[in-house]
Amino acid sequence: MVERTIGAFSSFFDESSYAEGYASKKGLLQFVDPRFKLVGMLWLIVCVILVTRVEWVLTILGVTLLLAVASNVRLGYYLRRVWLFIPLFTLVIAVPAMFNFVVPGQPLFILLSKGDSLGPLVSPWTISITVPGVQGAILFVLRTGAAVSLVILLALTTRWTDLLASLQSLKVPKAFVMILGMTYRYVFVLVGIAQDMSFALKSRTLSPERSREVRKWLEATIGVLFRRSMNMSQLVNLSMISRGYDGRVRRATRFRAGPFDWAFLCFLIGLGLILIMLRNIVLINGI
Amino acid sequence: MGSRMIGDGGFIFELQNVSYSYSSNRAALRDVSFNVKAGDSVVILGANGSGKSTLLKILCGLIFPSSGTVKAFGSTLTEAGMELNRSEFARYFRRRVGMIFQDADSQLFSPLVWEEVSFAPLQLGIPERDVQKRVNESLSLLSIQHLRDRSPQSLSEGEKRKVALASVLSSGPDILLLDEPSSDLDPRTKVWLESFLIELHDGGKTIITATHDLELAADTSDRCIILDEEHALASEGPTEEILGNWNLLLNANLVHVHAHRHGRVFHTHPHAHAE
Repeated sequence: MVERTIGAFSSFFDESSYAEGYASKKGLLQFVDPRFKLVGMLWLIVCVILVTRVEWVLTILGVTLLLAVASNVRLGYYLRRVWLFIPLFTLVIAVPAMFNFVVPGQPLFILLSKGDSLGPLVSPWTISITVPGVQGAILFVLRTGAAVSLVILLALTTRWTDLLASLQSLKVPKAFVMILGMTYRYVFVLVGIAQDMSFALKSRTLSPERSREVRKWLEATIGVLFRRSMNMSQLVNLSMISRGYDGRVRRATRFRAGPFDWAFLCFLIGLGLILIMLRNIVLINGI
Repeated sequence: MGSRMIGDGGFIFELQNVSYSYSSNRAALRDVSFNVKAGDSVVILGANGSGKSTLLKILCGLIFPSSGTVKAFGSTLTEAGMELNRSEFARYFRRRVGMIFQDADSQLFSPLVWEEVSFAPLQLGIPERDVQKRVNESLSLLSIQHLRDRSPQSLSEGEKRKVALASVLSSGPDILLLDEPSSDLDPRTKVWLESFLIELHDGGKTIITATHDLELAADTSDRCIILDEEHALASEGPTEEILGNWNLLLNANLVHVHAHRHGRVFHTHPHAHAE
């Protein structure tokens, strides 16, 4: 079990290392400067939170699908990644909100009326699913789906290193960006060490492992990994100092924005503004 | 700063009775003294655990002797003196001295190869436009332009070693410290490394290599320093002379007496392995 888990970690990191996948394909989002893409996607996520009607959230979802198609992302793969787990997690949160004791309103479906008998017991309340409760739950699930769609689209079409560099351009502290990058870098090294240790155990194991022995081995592995990561961090620090690091991080800028990047960002900002303004118009007119 | 380039007697490094301990009962170096001149190609030979890596870190001003003194360019290396944000000498030293670590993974911490190669010149305050030029030059010097946008974890050991070299050469150091540069390399990359080091030395760089690879020492160095298993200096001298002294190498655990049978007769002779 432990061996399989470490193996799965290792192959996941191998894949993400060697296969740049959609990020290296030719497509609309791959062509956009990552900084503009990041800002545009974050802006749309804010809009998803601000808009109040299901159809507007659906509009943003439609835009993400169009962007996915224009970026050569396979729709089946994309939709599976977004919608496979979202209903599970969001419904757990959204389901209670559909009931009248959380969101009161016009009942859509009455589960239990006041005075109904449940065997020897008599219900003291009416329990129903309300129309505003269902509307709220649908909006919640769609909002979550739209936000996750945007994040996944950004992650699929942007290399991890470009995302990091974009964060730096958005004035996220350089040291923080550097630590993120180094963490990602050394996870590969440590997973490799853990896998080697698991192979070493396997090569010396003659009978099926008992769970107590596996637990002991796991404890030892965690200790060794901790020690090796400490040693590695000391060496990395020395290597940085030997190349002039004095505690202040200096990094090269990587991107050059063109008119297309600005046009893309303006489009997304414009779309978001229209949807938010529609919300205000609706609020003023009470529609 | 130029007048401080070389110390008294034309030495870049002067070590006087240098000892170093990681803890009170674990000595890594004992009373080591030697000098290195500009343009030297020196190999520090020693068995595993003899203190070679510790010695290189001391020469690089990364750790400091428990006792004894180390002078670089005529100035004593001290912890306070090597604080980059306070000392002009420290910046000068870092520009002049570059170190390639044994474990390439510990040296390649940036997300992409070109960022790794640009790290040193950027830290040393070189303008970004010049840094790009230096990155390109370093990558082409090592013929690894094609690795520019790769991440270090996707590289082979040999490629990692080349990127590690490029990441140090991009800041233009005169003195290179290399820790076990030939370990984990396939034969072709090892031959390439040897000729590259000879080229760098012919180009005027001072090269100090720590290794137990006698072949690398024979092919690339003019002078050898031997550390014994007691972490002390066993001998130093011209490479040919040192490598010809089998007893010295035997005592330092750099060669072993190999016993094998010819018919009914057991026969022993000194035997060395490249790695």
